[in-house]
Amino acid sequence: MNLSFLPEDMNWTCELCQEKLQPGLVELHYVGSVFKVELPVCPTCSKVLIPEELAVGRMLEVEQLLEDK
Amino acid sequence: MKPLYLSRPVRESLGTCLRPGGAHLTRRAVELLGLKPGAVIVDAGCGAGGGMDIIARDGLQVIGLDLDFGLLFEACKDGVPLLQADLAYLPLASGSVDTVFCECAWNLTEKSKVLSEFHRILRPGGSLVLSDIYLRGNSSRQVDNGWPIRSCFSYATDLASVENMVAESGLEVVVVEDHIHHLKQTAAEFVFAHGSLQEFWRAVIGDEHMAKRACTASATTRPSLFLLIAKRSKEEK
Repeated sequence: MNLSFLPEDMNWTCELCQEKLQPGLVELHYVGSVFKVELPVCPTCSKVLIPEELAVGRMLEVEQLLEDK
Repeated sequence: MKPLYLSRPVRESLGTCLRPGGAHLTRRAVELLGLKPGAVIVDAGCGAGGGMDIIARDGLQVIGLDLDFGLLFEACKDGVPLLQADLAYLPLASGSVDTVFCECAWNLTEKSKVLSEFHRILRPGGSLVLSDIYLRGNSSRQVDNGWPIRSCFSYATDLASVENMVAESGLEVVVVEDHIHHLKQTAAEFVFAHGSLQEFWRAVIGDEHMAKRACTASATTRPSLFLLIAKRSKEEK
């Protein structure tokens, strides 16, 4: 299942490369599970922006679920 | 209210393999059994046919059985025999089948009666592949586990009870594996898709209070996923 978590405002720049982030397919690996999601990615260094809402929301719940908490 | 496996959020996420882990456990069972071409295989509770596709990929002949006509219609393909049937009353001759697959359907049936039917249709030496939800929390054979929707969770028991029921049917349990990882992966995909497990249950049930009850039932009963293979004795007539 591919899900998109692009921010409404895609006007983000990679501070290191000074490149505008582009939508890209990213694999999130955690405790043996893999999730394919669409996130903003730097086209030069491939660093990914994970929006805070995703990190402290869905990703946190998934972490707790996979860790059996 | 539709059962969980027919709900829109589940159908959208799981496609034609309507169970946690999709086709992984089917592949695992095929690998463990080393099925040979020419064997008569039944997929009991075949649903939309995802499991049959995996079995047929190895050149094996499979007969699909399900009670839901809509799912059978989806499973319909040239050359694949399908039967609409209650698993408690199988329209198949005694001792006529080499392997029965029953994946995430058994918990929704009259379990003892269905196991007895599987035993009846298997030839001596034949195998049963059973996979379904079991509960790691305190839950033996009671019917109501607090789940607010008809599902493989609501009629699940602990694993010891599953093994006892299979043994009581006359089949010998030869493999039992825990595949909780696949259940967690599927649940995590629901969280990614809906925002949280509670939101997933709300999308399934359409009610906030019942969604909370489903989350509470999950935390209390601690579901997991088993794969069990049992054999009918070769000596049996």
